Amino acid sequence: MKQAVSSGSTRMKLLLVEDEPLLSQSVCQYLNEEGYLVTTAGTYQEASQKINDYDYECVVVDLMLPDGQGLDLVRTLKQRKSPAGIIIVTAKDALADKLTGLELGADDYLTKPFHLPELNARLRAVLRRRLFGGQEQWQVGELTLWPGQQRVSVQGEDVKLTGKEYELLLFLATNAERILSKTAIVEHVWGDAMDVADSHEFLYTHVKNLRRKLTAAGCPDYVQTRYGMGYLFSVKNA
Amino acid sequence: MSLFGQTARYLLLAALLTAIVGSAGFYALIHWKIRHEVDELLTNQVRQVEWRLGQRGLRSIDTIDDNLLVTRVRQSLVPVFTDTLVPNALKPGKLVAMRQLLTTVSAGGQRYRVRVWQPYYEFTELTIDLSVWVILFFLVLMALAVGIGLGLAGRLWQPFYGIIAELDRFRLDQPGQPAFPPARVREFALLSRSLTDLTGKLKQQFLLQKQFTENASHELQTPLAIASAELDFIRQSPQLTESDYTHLQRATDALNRLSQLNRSLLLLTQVENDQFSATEVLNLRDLVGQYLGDFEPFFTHKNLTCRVEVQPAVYLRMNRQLAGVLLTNLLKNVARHAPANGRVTILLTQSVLTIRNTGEPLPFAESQLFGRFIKNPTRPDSIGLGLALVRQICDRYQLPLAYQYDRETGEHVFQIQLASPT
Repeated sequence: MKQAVSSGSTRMKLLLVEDEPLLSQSVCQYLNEEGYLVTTAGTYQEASQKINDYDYECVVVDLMLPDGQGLDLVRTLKQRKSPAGIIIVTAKDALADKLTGLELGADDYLTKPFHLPELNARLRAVLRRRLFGGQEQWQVGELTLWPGQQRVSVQGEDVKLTGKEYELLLFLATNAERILSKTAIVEHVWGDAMDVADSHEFLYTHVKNLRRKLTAAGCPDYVQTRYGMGYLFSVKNA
Repeated sequence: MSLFGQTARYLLLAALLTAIVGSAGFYALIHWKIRHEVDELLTNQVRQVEWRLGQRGLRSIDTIDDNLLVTRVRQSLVPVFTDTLVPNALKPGKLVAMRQLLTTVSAGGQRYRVRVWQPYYEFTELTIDLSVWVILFFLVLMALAVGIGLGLAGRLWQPFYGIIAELDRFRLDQPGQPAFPPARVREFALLSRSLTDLTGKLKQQFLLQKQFTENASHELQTPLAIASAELDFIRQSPQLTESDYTHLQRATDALNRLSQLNRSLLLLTQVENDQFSATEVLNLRDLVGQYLGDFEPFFTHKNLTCRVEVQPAVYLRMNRQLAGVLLTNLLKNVARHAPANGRVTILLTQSVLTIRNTGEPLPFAESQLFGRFIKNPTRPDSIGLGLALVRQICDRYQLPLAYQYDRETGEHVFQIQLASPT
């Protein structure tokens, strides 16, 4: 699984720009465990210097920094024609900021608070687009995934999944070997539309359908239910 | 009735009372005065008679012309004035009021009884006429005064009504300061100034309050993010028991609710603060289709029968994100509260968007439905801000939003009147 975030033998280099040390620590640790090589910066100054001195595959930027604006970092990166993917993280759920960020060339936008698996999934998607131009083919156990084409096959046979089922599978597979809370899954797949309070049974139905389709195609059942908690996608213990 | 109208009413009433009492009083006064004069006249006449009796004796008195009767008597009398009625010599068949004086005089060693009298004739009529005319003029004068007063009041109170109109237009949540009209009357100028001060302070306070809410919501997001990240970590711990999982899930759900609550509050404040000023002409059919697409799986999951009738080109000028929030919350409301196997109807015409869903009647007053933190007691896990957001957005664009419960079909009906595109 972790090879998805490495190109060749080196791990993907990430710069995490976040001024809140507790959050920075947690995110850094989580992403390290996911196989990224994470550097952190707590101020605009520090981040600006690191961007100047090193190359990163992806930069995660908090928009509000004590000594500057995250958007300016995005501008700097773009001016220097940096190939790095950019994900903006902010406490402000303001459309104007989001649009400015995306117009400046940021790849994605995440609002606090977010689930760590969500950040992971966004990072992975950005890197896929950046590194493989959406043409990536990804082997997970018996499954072959083409995320850019919403395609999955088991032993050479394509499995027909609905859009939401595919998103569900991709999210589970991206965060494989980790227990995912139902909340995180629902928010990722259905976004704002879903009323989380009503989601548990609903999610159960969709997961059940996904498992049924995959196992019917001859794939081992990689999805495990953790009672009361959520789901785990595991190739190792299937 | 206006303040002056009321005053005028009392004034006229008082004038009328004064007129009634006054006319009687006036009549009595004039009457008394005339009688007094007549009495003096009679007394003089008696004195004259006495003088003539002393000079020329009884024979010189012409009794017919002078309304005078003199007879010789022995005893003297106390002078007596009396009112009597006698037949009117000028108008036969009518009586006329008469004043007479009966007294005794002594002249030339003789004692005479003298009776003189004087008919009032026109005096009574004069008295009545006089009092009536005076009172009539008094009333006309009063009416004139009140009329002029009323006319003037309209002009004088004009700045006051201007101030009231401006106050009526004043909205705490709308930008701009009210402009109270200047007034020449000192009291109104004072009122204008005080109100300008007051509204200014209110506005400032309101802005501070809103600013605080927004900042607080922002500041809350970071600790929420930390807590959420920490929970994500704990979840991966290999030593967790099933009961730990349950506790973790509860904590996650609660945190999630808190974060949603916070986002909704933030959104509400932002709509209030008019932070979504960018508007564009939106094709509502496309938007409804798009959001309905998001919700269809939930409708299907609940086995709701969904009927959608949408006219092709319905345009509305508003902020795209807010339109999204509006539709999402209306549909979320349906997804949440429609019972399994229920019915949902979505109708979009040029003039109105209607969303109906079956369900039990509201457990609270309809007027509370769009209030903040109003929720169905059976669903304590909801946030209670969705419909408040809907109303806030409708208010923002002045789209009339209505709710009613159709008892015949057992449906909740939400309707938004759509203004024509500009």
